Amino acid sequence: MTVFLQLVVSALGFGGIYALAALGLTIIFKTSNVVNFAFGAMATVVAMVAWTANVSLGLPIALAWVLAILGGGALGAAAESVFLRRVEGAPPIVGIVMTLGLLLLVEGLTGLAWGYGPKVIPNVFSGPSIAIGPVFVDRNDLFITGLALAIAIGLHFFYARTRLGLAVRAVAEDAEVASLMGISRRWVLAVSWAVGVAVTGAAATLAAPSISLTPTMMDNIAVFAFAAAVLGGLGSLAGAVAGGFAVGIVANLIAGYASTNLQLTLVFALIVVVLYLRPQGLFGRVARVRQ
Amino acid sequence: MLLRRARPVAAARAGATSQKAATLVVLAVALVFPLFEGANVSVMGIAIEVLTYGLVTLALNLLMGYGGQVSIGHGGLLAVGAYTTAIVATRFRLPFIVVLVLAGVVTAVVGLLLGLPAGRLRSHYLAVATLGFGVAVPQIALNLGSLTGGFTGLIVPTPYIGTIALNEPVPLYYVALGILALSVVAIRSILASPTGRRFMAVRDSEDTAPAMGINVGRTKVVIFTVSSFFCGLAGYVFALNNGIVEPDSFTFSLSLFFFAAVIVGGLASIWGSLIGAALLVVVQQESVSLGGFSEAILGAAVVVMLLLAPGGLAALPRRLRGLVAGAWRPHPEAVSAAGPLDQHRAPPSAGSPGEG
Amino acid sequence: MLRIEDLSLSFGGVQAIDALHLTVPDGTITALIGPNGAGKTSVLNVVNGLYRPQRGCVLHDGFDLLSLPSYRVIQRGITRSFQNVALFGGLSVIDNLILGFDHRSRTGVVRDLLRTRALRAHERAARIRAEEVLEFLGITAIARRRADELAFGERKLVDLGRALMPRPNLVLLDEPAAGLVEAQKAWLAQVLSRIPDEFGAAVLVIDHDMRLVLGVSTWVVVMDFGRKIAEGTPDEVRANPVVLAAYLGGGPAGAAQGQ
Repeated sequence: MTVFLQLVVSALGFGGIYALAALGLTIIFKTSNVVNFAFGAMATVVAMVAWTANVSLGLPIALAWVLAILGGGALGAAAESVFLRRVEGAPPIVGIVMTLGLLLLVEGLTGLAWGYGPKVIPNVFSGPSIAIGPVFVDRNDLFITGLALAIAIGLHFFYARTRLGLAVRAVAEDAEVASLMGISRRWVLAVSWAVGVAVTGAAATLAAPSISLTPTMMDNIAVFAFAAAVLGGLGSLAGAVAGGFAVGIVANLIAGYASTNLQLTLVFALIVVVLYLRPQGLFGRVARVRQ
Repeated sequence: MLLRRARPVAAARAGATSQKAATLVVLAVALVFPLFEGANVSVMGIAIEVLTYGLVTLALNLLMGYGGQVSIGHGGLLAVGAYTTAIVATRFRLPFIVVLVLAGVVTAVVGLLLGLPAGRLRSHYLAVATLGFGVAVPQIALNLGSLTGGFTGLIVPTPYIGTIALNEPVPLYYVALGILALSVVAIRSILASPTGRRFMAVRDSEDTAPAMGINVGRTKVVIFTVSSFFCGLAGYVFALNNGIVEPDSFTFSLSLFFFAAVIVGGLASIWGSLIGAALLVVVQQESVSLGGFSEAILGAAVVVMLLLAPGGLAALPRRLRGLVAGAWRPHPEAVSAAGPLDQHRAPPSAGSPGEG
Repeated sequence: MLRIEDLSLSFGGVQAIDALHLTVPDGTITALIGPNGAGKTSVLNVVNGLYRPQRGCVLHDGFDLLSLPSYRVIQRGITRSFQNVALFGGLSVIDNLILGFDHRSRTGVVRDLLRTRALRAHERAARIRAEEVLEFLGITAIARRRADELAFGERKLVDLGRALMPRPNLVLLDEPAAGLVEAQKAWLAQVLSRIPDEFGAAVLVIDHDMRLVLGVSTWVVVMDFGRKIAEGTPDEVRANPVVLAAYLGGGPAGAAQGQ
C-alpha cells in the first residue's frame, strides 16, 4: 500500500507538468479554437532560454525561469499575430496544418540554435524531500502541483467572475458581441497565445531538470498532455488539471508496476478509448459531429 | 441567363495533354534510370526511398487531400507494414507477392481500427489520435521483443523471384516502381468512381452527403482503411530497402515529415504527393550533416505554402498559366489551383453545423 | 405520395413543428410558405432523416420514412436541394451531378478499384443522365467547372440538378430562388413547372418569393410558429386574411413579405 501511495505522490511532479502543459493548450483552444500542436516545441524554447540565462549568463535559476516565461509569452503572441491570424476563419484543417508546420519549424530552429546534446539545468526548488506520513514528497513536486492548481483556479475565477474574462470567452463564441463590449479580438487572441505558451513553457522548464533538456524533450510530454486534455475535455480548465494529474498518476503506476516502456503505449490506448467512448472527456462540451 | 462564357476548350485540352506528356517523360526516365546508376548502391538506395516515400505520401494524400481527414501517424502505419513484412518473411517461406499483399492487408486492418472513431470525431481529435498512434507504434514494437526483435529489430530475409534476389538495388527498384505505378493507377481508378466521389463529397460537405445516399461514418472508415493499405505496401519496400526493421526508424518526426511533404507537394494531387516525397528525400539527404535542418526547412515550407500557395507545388504551374493568360481566372478543368486549404472558402453558414 | 401526420419536433426548448398534417399528392407541386422561423426547413429535414421528431409519422407511399437512417432516404426516390446550396466544392459540376446518381451503383471499393463491368456501366449511365439534366437546366457550358468557382445562380441550378438526377418521385426544394435575380427567377419558375411532366415527380417547395411560388404550385400550405395555419389553392391562400396577418404581424420580416 505504501508503494502504491508513494507512486501516487511521486506522480505529482509530472502530473503537475502534464496539467500545466494541458492548461497552456486549453487556454489557447478556449479563445482561438485552435489546437496548438506546436505547444511542446514552443515550450522547449522557453526552457532553452532559461538554460541560456542560467548557465551562460549566470543568472539565478528563479530569475532565469521568470525571464524565460516572459519570453515564452512574447513567442506565443508573435506566433499568433504573424501566422495564425492569417488563417483565421478558414476551415479547422488549416489551423491544424499551420500549427504542425510551426512545430517542425520551431523544433528545427531550436535544434539549430542550441544543438541536440542534452543540457543540464537545475531545479527551481531544491532541498530534501518532505516526509508526510509514510511517503516522501519532493519540494519541487509540491511547487509544481501548487503552481498548476493556482493557475487553474486563478484562470477559473478570471473567466467566470471577471468582466474581462467574460469578454474573452465571448471572443471565442462571437466576435461581434466581444467588440460591442469594447474588447479587441486581435488583442485577446494575442494575449491568450502569450499566456498559453508561457504556461506550457513553465511546464517545460520544470520538467527539464528531470528529463535532459533537448530540442525534442517535449515530444513525449506533449502526448501525455494531449491525453490529459482529451481525458479532461478539450476547452475545460478543470479537465486539463484533472486530466493531467490522472495521466501522471496512471503513467507512474504503469512505470512502477509494469515498465516505463509501456507508458506511451498505454497512454495512447487511453486516448483512443476516451475518444471512442466519450469524446468530450470528463468535463468538455460535446465533441461529436452531428450524425 | 447570367452564366459566364465558358473558356475555350483548347486551353483545357492543352492542360490535359501536357500532363500526359509529362507523365510519359517521367515514366521513361524512371524506367531507364537504373541503366545509368544501377551500379551505384547509395544512389539506388535513395531512388528506392523516393519511390517508397512517394507511395506513403500518395496514401496520406488520399486520406487528407481527397478524404479531408488529418493523420500525423502515417509513420506508424509504415512501421506496421514493415514489421509485418519482416515478421512474416522470417517465419514463413512465401512468394514475395503474398508477403507484399499481407503487409498491405494487415496495415489496412490496423487502419480500420484506428479509423473507427474517426467516423464521428472532429478533425483535431483525429489528429491527436493519430499523433498518439505514431508515437505508440515504435514503443509497442520495442516492447513485443519476442515478435519484433525489440530494440535490435528484425533482419529481413531476402525474397527471390526465381534466382533474382529482390533486395538487390536494381530488382528492388523495379519492384518498387511497379508497386508505385500500380498504386497510382489504382488510386486514380478509385477517385474516378462512386467510392472516390463519396470521399470527396464527405470532405467538401459532410452535412449534405447523406442526402446523396452517403453513409458518412462508414465512408471515413473506408478512406482510412484504403490509405492504410497503400501505406502497408510501402512498408514492404521500406523493409527490403533497409534490410532491417527496427523501432528507431519510425520516429514521430517521420510522420510529421510525410505530413509536410503532402502539404508542400499539394493536397488532392497525385503529382503533388510524388513531388513532396522527392523533396522530402532531398531535404533529408542534405541535412544529414546539419541536425535540425530538415525540420526547419520543411516546417518553413509548410508555413510558407499555407500562406502564399495553398495548392502546394503541384498547383504552381496552373497558377502561373493563369497569371500568364491574363487576369487570374479559374481554369475550366475540374481540378484547379484552388484546393482544400484555400481560404476563399466561406466559413460554414449559420444554418449548417460546420466541421470543428 | 407523401403524407405527414401529427408531426411534432422541438429542440433546445423551441417547438419547431407543432402537430403538422401535410399531404403532397403525386405529380403535383406543393408550396410550403410562412414567415421566417415558421419551421419550414425543419419539415424538410425531418423528411430527409436529418432530424428525428418527437411525435408523428411520415409516410411515403405508405412506407414509414422515419424508420430509415438519413443516407437511405434517397433510395426511396426522395431528393432535396439545400438552403445554403452545399455543393461539393472540390468537384466539378458534372461530378456533383453524378453524385446525385451514385447511390444507384451497386459497386463497393474493390469493384470500383478493378473497374468491373458493373462499374463501367454505372459510369456510362451516370454521365448520360448528367448530360440530360445539364441540358434540361440549360447549363451544359459549365459542366467541367469546379463547383466552388461558380456564380451563385449557377450553383443553385446545379443543386437543383443534383436533386433531379436519380429521377426522383419526390423533390424537396429549400428556397431555390433565394438570391437569384429576376431573370433567373423567371427561368427557375419555368424549370420548376416542367418537373412533374418531365420527371413524373412531386415537388414540395419552400420559398419566400410569393409570386414565384404561388405561380408554379397547385396547392399551398402556410405555416407559422411550427403550425399549419392555412392551406388551399394559390388564389385561396393569397386572399386568406389569416395568412396576411401572419406575415404582416410577424414584425419587420412579416411586413416585408406582405406584398
